[in-house]
Amino acid sequence: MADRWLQADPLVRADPLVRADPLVRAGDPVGSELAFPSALARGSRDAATARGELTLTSVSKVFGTPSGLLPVLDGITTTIRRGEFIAVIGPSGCGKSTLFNVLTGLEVPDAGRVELDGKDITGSLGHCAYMPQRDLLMPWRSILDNTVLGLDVQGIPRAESRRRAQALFDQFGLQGFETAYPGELSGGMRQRAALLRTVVQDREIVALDEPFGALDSLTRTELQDWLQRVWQQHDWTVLMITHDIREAIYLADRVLVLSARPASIVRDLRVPLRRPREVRGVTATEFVALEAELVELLHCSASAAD
Amino acid sequence: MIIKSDPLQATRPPAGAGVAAASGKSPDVVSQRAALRPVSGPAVTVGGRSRDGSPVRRAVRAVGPAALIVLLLLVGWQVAVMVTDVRPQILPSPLRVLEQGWLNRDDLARHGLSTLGVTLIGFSVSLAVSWAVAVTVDFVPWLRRALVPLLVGSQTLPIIAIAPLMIIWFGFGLLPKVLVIILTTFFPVAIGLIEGFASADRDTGRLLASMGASRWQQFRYLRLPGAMPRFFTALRIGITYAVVAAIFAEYVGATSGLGIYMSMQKNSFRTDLVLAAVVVTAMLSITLFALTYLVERLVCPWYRRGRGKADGRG
Repeated sequence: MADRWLQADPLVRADPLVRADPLVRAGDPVGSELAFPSALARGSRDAATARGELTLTSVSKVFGTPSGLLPVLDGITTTIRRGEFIAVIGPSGCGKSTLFNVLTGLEVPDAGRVELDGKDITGSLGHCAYMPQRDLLMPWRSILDNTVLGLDVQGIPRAESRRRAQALFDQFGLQGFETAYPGELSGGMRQRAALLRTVVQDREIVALDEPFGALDSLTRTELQDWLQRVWQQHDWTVLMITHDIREAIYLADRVLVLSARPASIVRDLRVPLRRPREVRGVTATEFVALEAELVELLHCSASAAD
Repeated sequence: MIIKSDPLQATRPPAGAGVAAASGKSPDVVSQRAALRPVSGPAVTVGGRSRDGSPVRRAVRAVGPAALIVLLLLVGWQVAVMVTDVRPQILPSPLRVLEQGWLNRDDLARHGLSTLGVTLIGFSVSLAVSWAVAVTVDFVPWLRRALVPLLVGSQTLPIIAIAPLMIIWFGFGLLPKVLVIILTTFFPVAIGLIEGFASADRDTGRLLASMGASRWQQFRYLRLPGAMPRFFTALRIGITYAVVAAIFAEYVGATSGLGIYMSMQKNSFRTDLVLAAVVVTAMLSITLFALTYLVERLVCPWYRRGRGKADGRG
């Protein structure tokens, strides 16, 4: 596992996509054997589906409330391959967050199983790195200390955890802000710091709960664009809750559309758009067609709730 | 003071090269602007200074109004005493208080140091007890329900009745004074800590839980640092109470200290010296109060640097 992080840095610097980015220092050495274009990396990853496959089988959850039982999840079944980017959309209050809590192990489903490579991980913590809606950076920790929070919890020695996080600072546009406090950063930077804190934990699954929901639209577009690039360079399996249909199509390989509560998957939509996708592409015919389809689906789910 | 801007935003034109081209901002222009930033640094500093003022100016503005009021009152008092020619045993003039206080500075210093020592010892013990109780209560919720009513009860004890009993039970030494200080200051500090721990952000708690944090890690990484602002508020209330409590305990019975000094001077109608001791007491309280800010800055450096924006976090 640790090797992945050692490699991550040269891989990134050697990537032609990144070299075009002025963020990356021009003088960095290029040309190790890892210097293959990101498209190849994705291809080889798609072939290696044996490891890191997440399976949800008939996951159901019912909450007991004073006014009776409240079914929230109703037989969620899906398979997520390693390196896939999945967007989860659905009407408000349909149970997306509960689904995430089940994934992270914070809640145990009443029925069904969560499996990772066939191993039952239902209700067990430590497989899923979770990024909540708010950045939740601790105001008393410097940015570097904030990003290593998960590693501190795991008991990883200080020097080692800080070295791992530090290696990602460049790519996350946070270099030079290691000792700054969260209160001194802009919203976009705080969100990137929160994402760094999530991925540096090196879990099998990265779960993002509306990561850009609280940002202004310009910063959001910028971060979506950036997230797509860093995701392509890494080996992350991402599940992202979003309310933004364009964001879902722009970023995801597949979009899971949930019904109103109790949530079930009403549609598992593959997004066949080529990568890297561009922000300008949102006006392309395929994009608009997908968007229309999703709007229609969501409209149906939402009205079914009334 | 250099304004750190988001490097990603500064070095890259806003999403989509088309936007940048349309607005005539080529990446070169943007990077030129970035290169110019250090030059604009001092200008920003000057702008900031004219708004906030130099440290001396800011201090003057902070304490100026209060000092002016006090000065006016003192002048009024001085004039009133001179005009009415009241006897100094009844009401000494401020200048007389100052003069007699200066003449008796050795006594005042000796008793003042004694009071300071008692205050610091008593308050330290009180802090240790508050921390122990607050941390225990945080880890054992049912203890909270059991102990908090007792804490409230301790605060309703009439110290004026208890303090003489303390002298009867424990003599004229340090112990009764420490006990009076604990009884007075334990409550605000312990409650500040207990509520500070409990005020931890729930979402952050869930985030830590998803990382697999133990109860102890939750406390160490979240609840403890999160309680600091409330703790320092409680500390400031506590330290001023502690001085008053120490003087009260001494007043009832002691061998040295500002309290017994005031009591003795009152009995010999040295009103001026009683008031001089009051001035020393006030200086003592204000100094200790100001020191808590210094400690806060050392313990919580983030509090000052990230202030404002960090508070808006949740």
